[in-house]
Amino acid sequence: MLDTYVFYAIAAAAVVSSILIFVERKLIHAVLALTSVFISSALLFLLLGQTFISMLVLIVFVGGLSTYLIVAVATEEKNMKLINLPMFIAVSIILFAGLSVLISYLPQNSQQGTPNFLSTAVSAFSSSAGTLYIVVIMMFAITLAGTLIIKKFTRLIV
Amino acid sequence: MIPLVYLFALALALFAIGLAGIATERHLVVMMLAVELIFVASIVALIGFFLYNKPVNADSITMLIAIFAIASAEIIALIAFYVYMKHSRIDFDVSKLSKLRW
Repeated sequence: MLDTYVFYAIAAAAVVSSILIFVERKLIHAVLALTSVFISSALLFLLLGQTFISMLVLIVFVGGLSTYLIVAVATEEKNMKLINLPMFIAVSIILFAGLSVLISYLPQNSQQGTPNFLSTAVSAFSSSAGTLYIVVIMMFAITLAGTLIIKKFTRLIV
Repeated sequence: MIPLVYLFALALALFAIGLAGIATERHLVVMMLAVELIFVASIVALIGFFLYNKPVNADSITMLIAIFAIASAEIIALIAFYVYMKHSRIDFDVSKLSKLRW
């Protein structure tokens, strides 16, 4: 029952994000919406019990392609508005701290049986794959923040 | 367990949105992003097929990696197009790209 509700949430997020690609007027927002679709699909594969494919989507699409797209678009857009940088850094730190606490409290042994969302998520995040997830998401956030900071300093210098 | 028809409905919705975006959008980069959306829809449908008809094996992983490679190559081509057109001050409106017409 929980799986169905989680599927509804993930599907709604994917569809809304895919519509936002065409609604947003700035290109960087469209790319971020596409990144949200990628993350939603990775979560969907995690829900289906396919941890390896979910990790593959997360590494290839989010960690590789979306980061590359964001860097290319953000460095070329001349009139891109900067987000509130202190708020962004604070939210990143809070998210990282929350995820760290969550990882430390998860059980170390995965449950055996039919794959549902909770057991799959617990087994994924309690094994080494969970560490890889966190590393990929952190690399993505750090690259995004680095691009914005470089953009800000470049604007100050030039 | 999620029913197969739910997965197909999601894949179909993503595919329809991507196809409508290609048909109606004139910005080159957004059109390529719509193609990426169609790739995601195809991956969702493929995973649904492999999950509910037979277990995931090496063939399905190979097929997935092929889709990933095509999507990656498309993104690289998109970025090359984007940087070149931005530096050459070419308009991104595809209806104005007269040199690519027959």
